[in-house]
Amino acid sequence: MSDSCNLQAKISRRSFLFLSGGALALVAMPPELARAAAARGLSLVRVSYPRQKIGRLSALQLGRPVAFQYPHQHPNCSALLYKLGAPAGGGIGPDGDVVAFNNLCTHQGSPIPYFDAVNQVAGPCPLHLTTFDLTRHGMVISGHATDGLPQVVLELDGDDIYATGMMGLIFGFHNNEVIP
Amino acid sequence: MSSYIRQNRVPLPPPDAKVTTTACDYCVVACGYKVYTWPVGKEGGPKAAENAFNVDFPTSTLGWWISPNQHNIVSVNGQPHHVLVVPDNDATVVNLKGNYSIRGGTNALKAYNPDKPTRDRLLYPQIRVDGKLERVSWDTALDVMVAVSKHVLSKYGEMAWAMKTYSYEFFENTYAITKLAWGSINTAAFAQHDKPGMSSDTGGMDDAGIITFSASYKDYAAADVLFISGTDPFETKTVVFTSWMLGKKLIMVVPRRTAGVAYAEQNGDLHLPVIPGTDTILHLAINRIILENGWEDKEFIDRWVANSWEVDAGFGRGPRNTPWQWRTTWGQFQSNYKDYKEWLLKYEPAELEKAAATTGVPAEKIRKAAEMLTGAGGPRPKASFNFEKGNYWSHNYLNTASLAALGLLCGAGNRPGRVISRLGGHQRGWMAGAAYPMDKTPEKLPGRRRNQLDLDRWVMDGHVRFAWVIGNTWTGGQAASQFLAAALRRFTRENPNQVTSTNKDEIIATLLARVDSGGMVIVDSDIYPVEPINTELADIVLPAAQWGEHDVTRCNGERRLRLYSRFYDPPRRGET
Repeated sequence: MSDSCNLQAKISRRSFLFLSGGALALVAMPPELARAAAARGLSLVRVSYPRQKIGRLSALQLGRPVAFQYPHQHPNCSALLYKLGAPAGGGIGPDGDVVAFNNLCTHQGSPIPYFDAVNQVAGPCPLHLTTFDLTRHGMVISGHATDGLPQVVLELDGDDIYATGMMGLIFGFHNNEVIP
Repeated sequence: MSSYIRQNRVPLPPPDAKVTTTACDYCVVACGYKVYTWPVGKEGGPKAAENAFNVDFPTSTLGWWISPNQHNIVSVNGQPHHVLVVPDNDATVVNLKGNYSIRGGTNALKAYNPDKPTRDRLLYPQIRVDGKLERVSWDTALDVMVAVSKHVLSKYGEMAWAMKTYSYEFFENTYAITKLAWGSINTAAFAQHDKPGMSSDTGGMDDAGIITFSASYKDYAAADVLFISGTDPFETKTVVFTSWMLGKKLIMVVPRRTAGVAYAEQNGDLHLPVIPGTDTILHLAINRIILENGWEDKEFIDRWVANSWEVDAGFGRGPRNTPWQWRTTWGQFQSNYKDYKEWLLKYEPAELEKAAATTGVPAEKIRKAAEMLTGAGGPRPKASFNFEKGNYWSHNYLNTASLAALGLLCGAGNRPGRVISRLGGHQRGWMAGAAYPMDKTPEKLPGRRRNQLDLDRWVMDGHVRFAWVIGNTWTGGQAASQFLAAALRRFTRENPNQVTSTNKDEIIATLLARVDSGGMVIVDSDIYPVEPINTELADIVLPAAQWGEHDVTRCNGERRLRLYSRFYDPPRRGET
């Protein structure tokens, strides 16, 4: 996991998706990043999302998520910015532990009010108990949902944290990029 | 390399998309689904009038949605089509308001798509030539099967012709399978997927007079306390747990601290972490506490549990002329409630401290279970009793017999909210098209009756010359062994008579020589390559259609008939 964190920490380009499996071509990456990504079985493709400042690294506290809206001002686009205290896939910052996720359960769209800071887990969802691993791109640990929590792609610019894209379809949407 | 690409969109069906209904194919719950199919090249729009759901996108929080994993591309009448397999949010039974699990929610992904992992499907009949499966026509494959079968039946008799089949893959199929094997062939060399013979899974429960699939899901909602043994329904039959059981007091008898157990504990419910194999002692210890304190449901017992006169007169199930009498001898082991109570109160292994040591469950937890199930002299709660493989699949007769006694002591006997029932694993699709020829089986019990044949033993002893395996692993089945796998290998691959030609007559001649040299010919019908039964052992491999590829029926865990509509083409190429 730490490789991917370092990789993420270095990337300053906007608007990309993580793809595991390496089936797609690497796009516009410095060679050392491409090598690191290939070693992890990851590759990147571009989609267009707004670049939006969502917080400051120095203001984040362990286990105290910060709410923001992204990529649209739609109720379903409520997201949380976390400092997990453990390296995470897609994590930024010196410890690779700063991540952000849409906060609607991908089963039936309930906002998830619980965060288990000890285990870096979102959930259980109050409706049907689905839990999501925030260190592993929001994948389902247990429960009903058929997809992980959509992850907000982050970039660090000095102390400023920017949201630059989404990985995974947001609950209720048929297309993340269609502005409601 | 497999890859998982997170999708940021899902295609919407246009208003004229075709809608069919189905139920989920996976666990016993069989949630209701709707299937939308429409030709590739068209898509619906996000406005309600522009899509077949008649719903505006984005939908609201706590609303309804389709996940990208509910989409696939399939062939319909030879043309590529989008398909969405979507939980039925109109459902008023089973999966209320479109609840679904992570299994059923991904039903679309199991549809055949040559660009996805389902590309591994078996596509055409094959015969093993020079050790390698080669494509042949249906006519060739069936002609060889017929020739070998005729030879085996005429020279070695019906019992040399065997079948090992699933019990559940739709009523239509099991009816035809048993009509062939039991009726037309008339062989007792037959076993279902999960066990070596046609015996009961839950003998103790059957003998107590409990039909093991007796509950309706409404019963779980109507209960106050659920005793759940040998399964975590949250993990394995998810929707029955989250749609019908949440909020009930739970007593979960599971060795591991699974997700459902963790939920129960967080809610102040009870986890009995039983040492595997000691369920009987746990049940007896709870039963003994109940009887010692007079917490049993006396009114129910007086009315429904047979007394000595009723036992002797042969009323109801359990006394005379029932399976347990046939398996033993008439009149032996006759008992009634009074005998049972006297026996249990003297039975030392059921004493609380001894039982706690045996089962690994702390004494205070065993006592707490007895209190929760009966109300401990206060108002009596409605208690229901559910069990699954962890309890009964040891084939320990006493596990289910003692659990039936526990349920009956608590007044559970298939009345609303007070049921004793299996929760189920797979759906129920068994429909016998003929009677099992019990007169053919050479096995006999000490009493008067024959016993169903143990097919694995029959094979290992060299009595089988032809076997047709349908939709199961066999060598990985219950009570199967490396010895069985080695026997199958010895009678097939290690026999000197191996097919080296694609000429039908030569194939038949070789396989008849195999049979006459003491070997065996195996045919396997399945949807995927399965190690080792069709990849290594079978001489003939036949492809089958699956869920979504033909119209079929079966029942869920509350005996509700489910209909599964065909919505796309079976992945057959060339001949049909």
